Amino acid sequence: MKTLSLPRVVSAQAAGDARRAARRSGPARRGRKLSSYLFVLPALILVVGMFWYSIVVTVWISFTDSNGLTTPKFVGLSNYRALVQDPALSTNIYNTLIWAVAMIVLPVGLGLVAAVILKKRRGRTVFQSVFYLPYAIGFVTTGVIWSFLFGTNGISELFGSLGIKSLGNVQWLNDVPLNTYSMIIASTWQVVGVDMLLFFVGLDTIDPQIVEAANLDGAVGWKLFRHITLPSLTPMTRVIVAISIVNALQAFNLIWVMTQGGPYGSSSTFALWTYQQSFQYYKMGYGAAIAVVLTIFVLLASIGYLRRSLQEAR
Amino acid sequence: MKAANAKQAVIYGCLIVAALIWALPIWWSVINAAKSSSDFFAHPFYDLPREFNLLANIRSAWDSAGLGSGFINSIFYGVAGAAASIVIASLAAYGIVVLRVRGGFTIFMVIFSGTVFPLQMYIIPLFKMYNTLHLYNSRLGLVLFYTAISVPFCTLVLRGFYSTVPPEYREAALVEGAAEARILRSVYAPLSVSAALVLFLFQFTWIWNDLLFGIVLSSSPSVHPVMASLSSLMGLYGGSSLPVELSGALIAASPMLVLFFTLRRFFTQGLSLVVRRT
Repeated sequence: MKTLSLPRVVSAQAAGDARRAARRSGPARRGRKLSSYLFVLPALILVVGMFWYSIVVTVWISFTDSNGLTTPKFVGLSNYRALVQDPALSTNIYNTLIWAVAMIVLPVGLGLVAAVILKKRRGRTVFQSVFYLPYAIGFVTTGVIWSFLFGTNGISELFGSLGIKSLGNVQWLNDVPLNTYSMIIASTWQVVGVDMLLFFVGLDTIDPQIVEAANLDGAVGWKLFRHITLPSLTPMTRVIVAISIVNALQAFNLIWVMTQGGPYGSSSTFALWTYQQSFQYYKMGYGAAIAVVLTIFVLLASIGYLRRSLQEAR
Repeated sequence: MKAANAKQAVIYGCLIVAALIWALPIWWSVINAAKSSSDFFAHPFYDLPREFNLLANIRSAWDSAGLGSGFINSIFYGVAGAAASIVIASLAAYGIVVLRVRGGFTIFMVIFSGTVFPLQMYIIPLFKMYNTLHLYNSRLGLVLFYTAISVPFCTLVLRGFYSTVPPEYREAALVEGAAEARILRSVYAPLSVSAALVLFLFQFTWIWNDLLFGIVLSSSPSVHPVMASLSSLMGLYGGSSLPVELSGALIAASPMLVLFFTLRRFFTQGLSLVVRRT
């Protein structure tokens, strides 16, 4: 548009330049295109060479008797057949599902409640920091802290001296299924803060005018939450739930630090089971089969979310 | 009015109880990290320490079980891995969004979805590959892995960021005869400094907190990242010296706490990025 105000000579010259440039650009552009693949190459090599390669190889290993020592032999479906007959399977499925369900209900629910209550409240910064603190210290540190609290010199002692005898002798990390529930408490304690912050982000996107209009219509308190806040948070809730399921299905760090899946595999999950079979018993074929089954679970659980985020990426 | 005040009081009461439940475990960890072993076993854990033994505990956690070398290793892994992945991802993002390589979207999907599978899918082949290539139990191997695992997310974010930069900037630079690499470095990179900082913080945190690949890809304390050292410290004492273990936990958590409280705004920005993470 600017060229319109320029003297005709200049704009004619510019048009000529553009035409000459267009004539030149055929082979030149192709040359540029080829070299531009150099830009994407490092990322492609790393991701394909390490991750896509691993996915293919893990599937292949799950059909072999790989043990890290002898040359792997193809054994067909026998790892999967052994998996179905393994008495540990039901424990691992049960624990993995409990983790998934609990980590959706507890941290997401509590995070939502905390965000809604703290929004626009005096002292928000203090409470928000306290609830987020456990997330900042990390999974492994959380595991160390709660191993101490659930151990013999931990909170049992506190309950005992408070006169709550029934809780004074509880073996938090040894009794089944209490050990899994104890670790879920520790995990909830850790991640509530991050879910709360995510819900703050979601709450910030709600148009204040809608809230005002709803207030005028008499929607306050629970009514406002039920009919305005909660529906507006749906996209964010969907994301948080998807992340929580995927993370919970892969629960490893906390369990590894607190019980190593024990006693006697009673608190093991699929993620832990894969690691133990592969790196403690060196049954890598079997470990790979467990990993493949876990992957199928995770992909099924996240397929809706994946499809949505693919569409957004496009 | 009275009813409203009572309701507010109840809400604050609940908040304070919840805040105590969230803060007390950390408080207890700190005071017990400061106890001597005999004090810890002789008195209830909620008592204050009778003598201040924190520095001695921190020293023995730092020296034994290699938590000190794990700490230094992880700072190196975190800084090198995060920085390298941002550079590699910005190249990829530039190629896809700005240079529009043919099949760019497919390439992006291949890069982006390489890490959406459960991490357990990667551990066995990477362990074997690292053994074959003599990368197992080496610092180079760990940096390489941490770089690779950070690339997809960085590419996702930078791709989104670069697509908001007006193409006229590049056209103007091309007219002046600048090469593409130069344009990326002196036009796009300076514009995306804030996004890169958030990414750096985010990836550093991920690398710092990693346990699984630390124990799969390395075995000796001199190569272990910090969380692998911390978890082997647990096994080493088997609960016989909890104050030392808790001191170790404090050491491992300290950089994250410092980062969180000094750069809180970046963390919140980072979170809005996480939302888009699969």
